[in-house]
Amino acid sequence: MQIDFGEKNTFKDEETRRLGVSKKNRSIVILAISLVLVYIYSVFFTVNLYGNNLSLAWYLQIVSRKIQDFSNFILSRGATNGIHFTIFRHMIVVLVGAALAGCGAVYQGLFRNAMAGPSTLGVQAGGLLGGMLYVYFFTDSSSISIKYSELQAAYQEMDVFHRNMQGICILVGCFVGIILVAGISKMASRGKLSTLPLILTGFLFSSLINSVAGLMQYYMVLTNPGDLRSNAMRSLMMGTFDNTFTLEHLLLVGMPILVCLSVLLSLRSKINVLVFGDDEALSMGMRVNLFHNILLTVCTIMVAVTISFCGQIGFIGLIIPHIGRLLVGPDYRVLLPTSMILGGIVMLLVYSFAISVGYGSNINLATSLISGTLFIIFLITYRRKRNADWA
Amino acid sequence: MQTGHDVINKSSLHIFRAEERHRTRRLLVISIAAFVLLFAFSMCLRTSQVDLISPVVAMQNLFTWLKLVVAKWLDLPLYLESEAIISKLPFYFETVARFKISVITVVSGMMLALAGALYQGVFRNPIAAPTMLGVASGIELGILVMVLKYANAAYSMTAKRYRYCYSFALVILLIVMLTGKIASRGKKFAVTDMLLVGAAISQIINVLISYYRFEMEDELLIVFQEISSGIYINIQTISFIILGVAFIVSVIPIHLLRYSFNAVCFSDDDAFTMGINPRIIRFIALICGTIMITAAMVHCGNVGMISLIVPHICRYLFGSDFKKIYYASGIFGGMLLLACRDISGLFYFGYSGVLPIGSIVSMIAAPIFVIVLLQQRKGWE
Repeated sequence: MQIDFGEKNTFKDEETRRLGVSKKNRSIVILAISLVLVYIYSVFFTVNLYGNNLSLAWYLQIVSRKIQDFSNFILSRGATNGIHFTIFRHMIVVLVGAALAGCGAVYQGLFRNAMAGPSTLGVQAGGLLGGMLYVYFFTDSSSISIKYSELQAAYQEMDVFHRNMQGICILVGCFVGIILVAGISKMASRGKLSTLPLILTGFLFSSLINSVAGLMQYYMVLTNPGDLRSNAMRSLMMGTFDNTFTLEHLLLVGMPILVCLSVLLSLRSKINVLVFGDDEALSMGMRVNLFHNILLTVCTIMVAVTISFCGQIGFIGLIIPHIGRLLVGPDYRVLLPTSMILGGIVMLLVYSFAISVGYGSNINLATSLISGTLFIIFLITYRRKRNADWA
Repeated sequence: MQTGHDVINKSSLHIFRAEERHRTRRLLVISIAAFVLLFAFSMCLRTSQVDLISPVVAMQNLFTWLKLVVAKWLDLPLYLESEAIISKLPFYFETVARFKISVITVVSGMMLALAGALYQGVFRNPIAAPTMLGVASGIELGILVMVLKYANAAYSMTAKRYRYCYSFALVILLIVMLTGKIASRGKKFAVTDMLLVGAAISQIINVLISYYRFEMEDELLIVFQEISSGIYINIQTISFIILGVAFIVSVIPIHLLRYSFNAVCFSDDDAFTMGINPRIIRFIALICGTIMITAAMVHCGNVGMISLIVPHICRYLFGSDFKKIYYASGIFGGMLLLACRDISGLFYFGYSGVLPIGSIVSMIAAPIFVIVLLQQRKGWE
């Protein structure tokens, strides 16, 4: 019996494969350009339309003033009217969107489940619990924001441990959340992570934490009316970019997120192998547990960073990898950067939408309503297809 | 023609059945006795607001209350002296209020557990509870709308609260079920899809509710939390009447159809061969279960986890016969919710005096839910 290896065919496949990759790279370039365009749009052309008399002249006036401010800021002369704050804030928006979307893509690949994401795996809910416990027990009732933007002087006097207390609380909460939800649902579905236990456990966990938040708020109102800590809780629960706008904030958010994103990007071909299953990866000579744990830890740290600066932003991490998969297919070498850029774009669009309807400080509401609906649609389509791997 | 082997088997089966019946009866008697004891105990328990009441005093108070109620109805001369009689008795008002609250709690717990047993049996799924299908968040949404509209008056408007909560719960349940049906592509059984869609929709509604919780003024927030987490229980006569009507309307059809339910719980084909249409039965179960759970949660707040766990406890104790599970979960659900109420009364928190009953229920229910999840032998798909 002769086996025809088909040299010509292999060559052809190689050619098409390379062509395919280059095509996908082209799509990444297109996405990056559109990210820049969307960024410019959302910085300069987004206006709060709520409660204003709408007219074209008014809109053009505001836009031209913004551009004037920007040129003042670049040439460092005259009044900038806070345009640099808008620029930094929108950069943070892009970073947070990219972080959440990258996390979602990696979680979905690692658990081999299409419905895994920072919001369904209990990572965000756990971090929220940690943050709320920190706010309730470790801050005095006059601290307004979750991050020390108003408390610079007090922050200077703290020691290292107290400075990072909030971050530590949120990080521990995130790890507790993912271990609880993913562990229980993985045990319940005998090794492979099934959708139903995952979604139900995550839902119960997050609704439990939601009710805990309600109770905390209730007792705060009862025991100490006019407690400003409820504002901190609000910015944790509803997700806001109002507390992060300076260059310092941009560095604080951007450094860890960029480091984590580059780690994920450098390991993206490993994720491709891990998607096939533990046995396949082992037979390819990969240290499965090591890479699994590294990727999970990096993702969870990234989610903790986003929560500690911007609060909870639901469903974004769940939806964007699906859109990316529709665009470029399941290859993680292309999918991961694509979903990161897409995350930035979608987060910017949602944020500018929220600003223009006047809900800019409750970003979680906008993301949950928009991408929650999308999530249900994706759920329906996936259930209708019932593919074996992505059930 | 019977062989000896068959005879032996039949007789042993007979003995086995008799033993099992005996065991079930014994368990039922024990649980009813425990129920009565718990009720009496909760009358005399020391809470954050009231000291320990001696059982004799509690009995005396309750009898006096009964006598006065009868006297009021029949216009007896005893009613004229009621103030003089009451002033002599210690803890009179506390005992009566606690009795009323306990009755409402027990009936709500019963209805919750019955609804859970119904849903689990009819859908043949261990986690198909009405709360999982979005009913709980619908009720919370109804209470939210009501509080935003009527502010403080929402406390006493039991009938209106019913109307709001029922409409919201029904709308969300309908949305979840239709979406689940679409997702399952016309298959017979769409429970898994309904559960998934229900979880997603409830999460979105939770975000909406928490947004309004932060937007509300402090007074409204207190009203909303006290109603929706079961700190405040309305003990006016009207709420007893409505609860009683809901109980009768929903429990009696199931009681009359209990044998058909047994067949439907087994499988659809068996039900067809027995001349029962499982669709009609399932529809009745859905309607009655939703009535039960919504009524209970309107009165007692967010305690829907009871409906998830009590049928499992009863299945562990009584086997898989729907009839037995149904009645037993009634007793156990009432008992469990009353016990949670007693525990919540022990704590002193804030100025209101009690820890909400819902938090204690979820503390008890979460580990049991995890055990139920882990014990599922076949796959989840």
